[in-house]
Amino acid sequence: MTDNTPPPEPSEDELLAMAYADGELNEEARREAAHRMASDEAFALRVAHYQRLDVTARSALQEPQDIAHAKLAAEPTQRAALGLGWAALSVGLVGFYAWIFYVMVRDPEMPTTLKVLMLTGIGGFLLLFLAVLRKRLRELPFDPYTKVQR
Amino acid sequence: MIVTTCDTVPGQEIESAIGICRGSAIRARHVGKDILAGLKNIVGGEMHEYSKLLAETREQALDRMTEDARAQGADAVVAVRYASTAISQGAAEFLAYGTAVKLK
Repeated sequence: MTDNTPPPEPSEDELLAMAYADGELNEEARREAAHRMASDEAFALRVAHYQRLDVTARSALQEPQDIAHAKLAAEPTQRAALGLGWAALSVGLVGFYAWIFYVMVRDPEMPTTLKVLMLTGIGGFLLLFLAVLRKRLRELPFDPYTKVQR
Repeated sequence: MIVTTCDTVPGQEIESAIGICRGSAIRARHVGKDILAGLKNIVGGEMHEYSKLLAETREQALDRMTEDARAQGADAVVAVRYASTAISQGAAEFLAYGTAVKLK
């Protein structure tokens, strides 16, 4: 049975977000909306959502090979091969480098200062990596370009 | 906002040129996609990972250029061009630029 219920009317905020994303606001309204986005995260997310729809809509249409590509990506064998491959590569590389560092740190001939410097460097790198990763994860919902295919 | 690679807007008259408007973007994909693209290098075929990277960067640069034109009070951008270069390995940079104009 078909549901004939009309979709709910968009709220004022949704209309404003759509107009902002489509570039339909005048300069003053645009500045106000931009100012609001800085303090209202929910509104900023709404704008990002409509920007994403706009960017995706103007992207290239689906090509025949996209269907084959999507089918192959969904196949259990392909998914298992990719999953196992990534797991094996990650465990192997992390284990390998962890082992090297362990051997170096346990080496009695290596000066303590060098060991401390090496561990400090690794710690610094990890901290920087985590900071960059955290920033990217926080930015991701506001990035309207992630759905663009080609 | 009309955005065109033509020097004029067909069917409309340009009142005045405001100036250059531009937008650039640099994006990268994560290391996992770089590894898969590297493997694609061995077997051949389209590198979807990098096609997507270029497309994302192109659209972002274009949007920034349009935004710049809008901020200058333009009605259209004519003579739009793209320029691309590589800042670092595995990253794509696009520069979109054109002339912001006022229409009659």
